[in-house]
Amino acid sequence: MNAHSKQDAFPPTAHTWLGQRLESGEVGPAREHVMAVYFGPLTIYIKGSSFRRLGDPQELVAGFFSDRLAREDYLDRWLSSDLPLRVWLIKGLRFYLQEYIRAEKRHAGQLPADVDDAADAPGSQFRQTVAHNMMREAVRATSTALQDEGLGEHWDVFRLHHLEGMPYARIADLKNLTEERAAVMARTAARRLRNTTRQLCAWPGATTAQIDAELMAMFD
Amino acid sequence: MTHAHVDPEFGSTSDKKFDNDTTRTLLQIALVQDQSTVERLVDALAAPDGGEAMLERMHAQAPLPFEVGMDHTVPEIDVLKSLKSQGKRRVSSAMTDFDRLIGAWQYILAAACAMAFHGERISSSDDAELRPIFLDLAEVLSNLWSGIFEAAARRCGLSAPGT
Repeated sequence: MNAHSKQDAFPPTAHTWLGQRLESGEVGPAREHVMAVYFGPLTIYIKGSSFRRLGDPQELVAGFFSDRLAREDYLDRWLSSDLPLRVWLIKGLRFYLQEYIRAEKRHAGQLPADVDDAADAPGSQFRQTVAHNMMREAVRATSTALQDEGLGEHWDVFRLHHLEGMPYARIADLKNLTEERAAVMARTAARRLRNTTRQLCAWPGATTAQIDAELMAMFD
Repeated sequence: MTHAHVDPEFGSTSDKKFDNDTTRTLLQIALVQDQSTVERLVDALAAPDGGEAMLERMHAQAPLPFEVGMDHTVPEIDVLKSLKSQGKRRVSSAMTDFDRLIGAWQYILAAACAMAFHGERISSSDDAELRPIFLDLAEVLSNLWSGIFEAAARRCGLSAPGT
């Protein structure tokens, strides 16, 4: 039997940014990343759902992170869940809020039996904010890594072309490059950004197509 | 006169805000669904945490018919044509993504070696298609390999079509 299967070639677990942090014992940065990307979106999620009646969304999310992320194995359990982190956190938040309702008996009976999913629908403000925060993290990580490797100009060329809309001919004039070289540099930076973004978005067991679908669902 | 907004996340002076359009543009760049096999190959080889390992795995599964090293001998053109055909067949009959990438690598490497060492284009693709691929591979691979792709890119446009 062939020893090099598709799974061998692209081990998704090894290419999960959070998984790599946890495997190397960097629990602090992993938790900080989760809060940086998901704190705002989860407050938006609460505002858009029937949970908003429970109180200040920011306090509720802060309580959720304080309770769950403090648990040593919380993110390790995500790694074995086969779920996108977005889905894992929403499930966890809902569970936490149900616990909260039981503990705060005054809220009993305030919630419908089924929680509507509109707050996490494709294209919802929640997902757009997750996308926004995730891309901020990806941009920060990629530009920093390229700078550290002496490839800061690659990032600059990428930024000018893809984000400022500057033609390669103009960039070439500006940077004293050939037009062809500018295009190569931008493609190299784009590859690094793509790699980082997909690692941030990936979850254990995710296929290439599933990661694409997750990225597309954020802005559909 | 307006002062340019300095955005630390973009690493340079910029008037561009990190708005929804920017996020959408960046998300599009992160998608791979419309990539060609060669584009996916270059991405895989460019991964900072796996490019070299990827080459090793490909060569373990499909060894090259010639040595590539500092003192390598120039592979015969017939060997390169055979490798190119082998790569093409592997891509079309591949059962896995990995096998498809191996085929693409064999095809592109053979085409680059033919161009670099013999000045001959053995691919049906024209030089305008090949040159950016050679330049990208020269950029992302280590010295040993990048030299071949650089030389191939230099000779694009000067090559004679293969017989």
